[in-house]
Amino acid sequence: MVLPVVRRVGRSLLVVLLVTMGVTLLLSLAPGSVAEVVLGPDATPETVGAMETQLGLDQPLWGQYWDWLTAAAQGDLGNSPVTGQSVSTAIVERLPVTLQLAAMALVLALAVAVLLAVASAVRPGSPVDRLINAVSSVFLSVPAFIAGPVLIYFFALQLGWFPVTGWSPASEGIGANLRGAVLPTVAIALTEIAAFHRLLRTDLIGTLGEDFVGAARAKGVSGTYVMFRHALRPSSFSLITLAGINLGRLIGGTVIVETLFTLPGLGQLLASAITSRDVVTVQGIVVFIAVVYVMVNMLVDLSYGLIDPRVRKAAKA
Amino acid sequence: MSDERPPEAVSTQPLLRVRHLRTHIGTPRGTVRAVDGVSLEVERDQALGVVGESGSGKSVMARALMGLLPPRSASSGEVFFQGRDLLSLSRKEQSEVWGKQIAMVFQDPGRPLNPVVRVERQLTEGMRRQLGVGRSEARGRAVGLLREVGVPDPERRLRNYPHELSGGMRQRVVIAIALACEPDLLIADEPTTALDVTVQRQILDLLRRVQRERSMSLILISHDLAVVAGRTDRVAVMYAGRLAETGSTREVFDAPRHRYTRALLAATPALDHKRHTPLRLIPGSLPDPTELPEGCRFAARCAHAAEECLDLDPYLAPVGADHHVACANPAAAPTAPTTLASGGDPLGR
Repeated sequence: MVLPVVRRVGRSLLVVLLVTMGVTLLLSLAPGSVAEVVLGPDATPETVGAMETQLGLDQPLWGQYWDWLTAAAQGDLGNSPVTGQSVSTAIVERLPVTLQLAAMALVLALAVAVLLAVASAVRPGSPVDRLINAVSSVFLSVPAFIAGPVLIYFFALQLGWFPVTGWSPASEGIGANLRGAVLPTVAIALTEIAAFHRLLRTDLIGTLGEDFVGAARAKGVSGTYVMFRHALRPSSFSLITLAGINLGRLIGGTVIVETLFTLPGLGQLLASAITSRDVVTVQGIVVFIAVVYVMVNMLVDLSYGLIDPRVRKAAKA
Repeated sequence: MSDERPPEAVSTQPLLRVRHLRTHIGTPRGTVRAVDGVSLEVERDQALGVVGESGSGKSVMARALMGLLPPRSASSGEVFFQGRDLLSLSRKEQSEVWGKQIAMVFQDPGRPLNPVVRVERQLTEGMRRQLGVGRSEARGRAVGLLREVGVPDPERRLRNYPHELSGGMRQRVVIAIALACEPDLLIADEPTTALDVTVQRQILDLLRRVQRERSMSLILISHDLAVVAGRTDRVAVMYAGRLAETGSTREVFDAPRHRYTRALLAATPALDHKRHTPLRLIPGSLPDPTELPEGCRFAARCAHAAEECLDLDPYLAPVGADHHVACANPAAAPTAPTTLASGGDPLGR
């Protein structure tokens, strides 16, 4: 029982390590340095060089990485040379926006997708199913940077129901906060809805062909009951897996949507850190994303046991 | 089989009266005429055995009665149950009948149980809906049902998931589920095929026992004549979607008149056969259900097929008080009754 957990955690740490190493390498390939960005275009090569020395950028790459890693292992992600702010503080400040957005988008997408998938699976190939499939194809092929402006145009500019851009923290009133979150949530959720719907529809149709579904119907319980209380749970393995992967991705920052709606989330922080060559901040965010990813995937694995008691038994044995 | 009498003329109606039931299933290869004009009756408190080889249409018939047909299939004919034609009921009216008046025990004891739902809910959801009983009463009834079907420690079993039970135990649970709403008719479709031989007998005897104790009617479907032999009052032999022979179980087994029934009996191994007696297998196989022959469906495999058998579709005709055969050239009634064990010479050689 203990050994698999140890192995699991070890593997997760390795993933995080490799990810941060990769990011250091990639950023070192990009031209320019943070010193040039901070000091501006008028800086002389001497001042740039002095600042690089001060930041340790003249050290060899592996040395920089090692210094960063040892500090990070002790919980210190360093300070941004651009803003002077501690990276951990910056992440913690931005996190609520991204978390709320990711959670709302995921819940919305799951709720809508489950209903659509059920409606599709009742009669595969029926007009209803074909219509839903067509709509979900559209959702799937419309990226957020198209859906976002379209949503803004109709619901913010034309109808005036929601603010065009900007974010109002929940501490300043839930109503304003939710109103601001609706459009970005929908923009993110559309693609997710389509993907979830496709996956669950296929799995549901498979489950509905099982004998236990027929047996449940033979008890005279309603079709809705059979669908939600018998068929849905055994059909949701792939859905949970995909939802987990996507949750990790969303928490990692929904860069496009956050930029589009000017939301002060992680994605925006990451985007500005990359353009200003702020390696320290980028590293901090990447390590955070990697840890979240690994944790979400572990939770997904654990959730299989909640869905299917047979998995629990196998895990105990 | 009293096909010709109109229902009004019968004072005591049978519990189930199937008339000209046809179930055709659309497949990529063409329309499968799985059930093709079956008429039969089940009286109250009676056990009817339906036998036939795999693919003869017996399972599809059972599923048609339960409204559990695959998509792209269509049923026609009449299924009168307590005077109501089930096929013409709305989906909602049908669901009032299923479970409450007709219940089904399925073939493989693993598959009709939902692997992710505890025994308790699977056992109580039907009665909670159909009989409107509350949670705690349903629980009490569930314990009683499990006890009735011989599940030890029923309180604990309610909390189990299906995979935590043995195959025989699962089939007992399936039977308990079928009994939950006190149905008038129980359809058991190959209830023991997937079980160990020792468990098979227990389950079959259990079915017969609850059928008698509850004064229920039973349709016991099996490819195995021995399963049906001692446990049913009447028997219907099915072949290629049609009934070949029906009658009281004793008479059909003692004096089979249809060549197919005789062949089936001869192909059944029995302990009191002389050692090294070769089993007489039936040559050939079932006709292609998408292209059934025009005449008798068994003609191609029948040693007694005459010219007319290839063109003339035989219908069920009486050959005794309660004994009908669909054969243009039925076997002669034996003077001395043969038994299951010594089955005669079915192919007349």
